[in-house]
Amino acid sequence: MLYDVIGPVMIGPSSSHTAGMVKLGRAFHYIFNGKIEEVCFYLNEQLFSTYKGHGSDRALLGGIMGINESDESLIYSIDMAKDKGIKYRFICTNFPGKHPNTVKIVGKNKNKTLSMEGCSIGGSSVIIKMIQNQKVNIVGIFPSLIIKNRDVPGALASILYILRKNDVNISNLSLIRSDKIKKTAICVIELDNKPSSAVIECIKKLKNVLEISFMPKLEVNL
Amino acid sequence: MKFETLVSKIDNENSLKDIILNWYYYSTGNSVEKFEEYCEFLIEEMFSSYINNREKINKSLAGWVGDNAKKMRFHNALFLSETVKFAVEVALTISESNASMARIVACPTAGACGIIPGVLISLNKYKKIDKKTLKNSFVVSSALGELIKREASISGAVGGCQAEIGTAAAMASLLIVYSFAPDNKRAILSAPALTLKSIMGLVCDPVGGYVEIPCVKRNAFAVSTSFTSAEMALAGIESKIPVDEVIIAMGQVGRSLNEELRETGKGGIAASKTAKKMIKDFKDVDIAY
Repeated sequence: MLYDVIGPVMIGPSSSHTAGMVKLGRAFHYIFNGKIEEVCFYLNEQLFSTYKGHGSDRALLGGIMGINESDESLIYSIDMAKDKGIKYRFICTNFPGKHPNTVKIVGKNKNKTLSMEGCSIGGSSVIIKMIQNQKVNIVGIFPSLIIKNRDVPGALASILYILRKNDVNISNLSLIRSDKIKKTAICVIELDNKPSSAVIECIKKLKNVLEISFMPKLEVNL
Repeated sequence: MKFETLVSKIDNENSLKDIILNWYYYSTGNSVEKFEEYCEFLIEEMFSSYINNREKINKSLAGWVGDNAKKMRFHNALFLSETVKFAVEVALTISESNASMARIVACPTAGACGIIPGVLISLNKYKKIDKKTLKNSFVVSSALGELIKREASISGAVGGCQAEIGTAAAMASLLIVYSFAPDNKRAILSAPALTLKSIMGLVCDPVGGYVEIPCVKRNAFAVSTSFTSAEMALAGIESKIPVDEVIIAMGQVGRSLNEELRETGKGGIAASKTAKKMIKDFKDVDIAY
């Protein structure tokens, strides 16, 4: 309420095609949690038709380098990506039945590959819909932990025990099996406040936790 | 909530700003102080957005706008008062900056980002309205925007240009009236109603889908409309149709607009012969900065 009609402070020209795209890129930056060497952006047809004129290319590339939507260096993000040696491509794709502003980001380096799909739903609000082809629903208004864990009894309990012990309150939580054969699952925990790096380290050391990344609130102005 | 209900509560003890902040607090439980600080922050950002971009040559992404603000700045006004002429210049500067990936405040959207700063900065410069008063007026106008969002829309893709430029202009006209006459209930209710009626039905027809033509110039027009409405309302001219009913009508008109006229870049001037040629020429060049 009220906040939706005034602000945000952002780099133009379009709140959904520029600011929203920076946020999706930035979400990818946090979840990937490492140096990105190659990245592919699959843009839904409608989004692709204006992506240059709305600066969506600069927005997405800036986002994956961790730049935020009110940072004036966004305009130079293509050159910055080239300087860093990041290989990038923008591909026109059809996502039938999905939101017109849907984008799928696939990034990799020598050690890992991550895919994330999200959409910019108006204003500069975004929803992350898929991580590694598993359905999630992250809106970025909470600091969130994204955890890949073993699909075994007690895995979630051990994570929650650490949060409980450190007095971190959970606002939303989801856990979805991602691979039945490899026995892995993706757990998304949205929190009321930012956990300390020690808490994250503690969770990382758990024997049933395979990977963990932390995504701060995507709303930088609030 | 009706805007009229909020305004009717104004009395000797409660200003409209206090009534609105109370309403905000009881609806959300969020901190009122934090919201006021956020408003101050946005106003500062609007001022710096103008100051930082004024001297830059803002070549837009598609290259179709970028020199309009400058032309206005070096022109001696023949017809407009210095306040309105300057507000138009600020609106052009900020919306041209938006089209060239500069930093702006979306208010209510990026496409309509020039209007409220145009009015705010000009009132500060030529009418000596201090920033605290401007902040109070800005709080009041945010409530009007919120009600338009609820009853109609603030998105061009949903309700046409009237939803973006129209909403910003209505908020701006309220902001002007409230800065001069915070107790004048009739003028406070009339100014936004008059503005919305004048922009009723305006379609969203951006050439190529880009926020350039006609968006930039419509920001300038909206500024003068908001000053005209404010002047009429302060002269005692009333809107015969109450503002809340005008907002509902605006929502209905928006939803009845053909999809081509709602930010698809397929209708209105976007479908003109010249526009089609411009798009074709643009697609053939890669943008270099």
